[in-house]
Amino acid sequence: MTILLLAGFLGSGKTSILLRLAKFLTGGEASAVIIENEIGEIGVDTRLLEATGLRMKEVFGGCICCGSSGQLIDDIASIRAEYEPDYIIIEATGVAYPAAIRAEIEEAFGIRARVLGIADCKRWERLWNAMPMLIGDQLGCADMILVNKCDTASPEARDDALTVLKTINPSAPLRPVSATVDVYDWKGLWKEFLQC
Amino acid sequence: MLTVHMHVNDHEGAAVVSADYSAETVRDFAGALYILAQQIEADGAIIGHIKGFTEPSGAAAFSITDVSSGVSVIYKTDVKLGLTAICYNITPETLAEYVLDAIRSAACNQALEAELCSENHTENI
Repeated sequence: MTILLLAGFLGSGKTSILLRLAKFLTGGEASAVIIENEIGEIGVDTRLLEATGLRMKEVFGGCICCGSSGQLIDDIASIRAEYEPDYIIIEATGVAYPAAIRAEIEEAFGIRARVLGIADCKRWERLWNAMPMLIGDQLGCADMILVNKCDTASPEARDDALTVLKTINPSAPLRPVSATVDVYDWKGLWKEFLQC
Repeated sequence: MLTVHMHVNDHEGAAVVSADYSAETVRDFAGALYILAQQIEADGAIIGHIKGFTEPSGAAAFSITDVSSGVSVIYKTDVKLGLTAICYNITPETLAEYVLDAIRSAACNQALEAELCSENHTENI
């Protein structure tokens, strides 16, 4: 069983990216279960994902990197026992610290989760200036970073984001994309990520 | 009169407001979210994410009879609408007020009758 963790700031495009990833995995006849962690009491992303027919488990209210981490471990254990999926895809909240989640998973199951970081290219400068510690932690541990919303950002904004991301995470491949656009080589991206 | 179920709290420095309600007619929910975003940014706050949904999906009917009247959007009775707003540099209470303003404008400017509080509660507007 492979565990994939999607991390990135609020509104960066995690859910849109997750939909593409899940479609790729299940299109190749692999089985996948999604664990969705949202802040707030209303599961907006959960509703969207459920409408696509994907198998889901939601964790509400708290963030799985802190107060709700016990529930995450329990959920992974029960999913593994019940479904034995090829993949568990975890979408963390937009304020989660993925390194802490990865550490919890590795301690509990001996599995190193692959982290896909999603950076918001359109809002990069504003968000990086406002909360560099959170964003640096979120993307610093990623195995690959998708620099999302490149279709709506200026080339200068994209280049600025790439320059900073290279210093935050020198080893992760950086891939400019737009989650809502089909033109990118999504299959190639997913194959590359799954081999990270 | 609309009954809005709200949850208002903060999480790691972010103000988090979730609200859902049932309505018979909602003129422009997407436009209301836009107004909410404008209000938040005009305050100098930072939008983390504002997301909304309708349930069940596909329950809207659209009608236009002449250009000057515009498009009427009519939802089935008991369509549920909801949103979550997560923002920074703004208090949860202020964000909750802005969310209610947005819901009011989506529900054709119905008057707000109850006071806000900072815990989970129900508002009648």
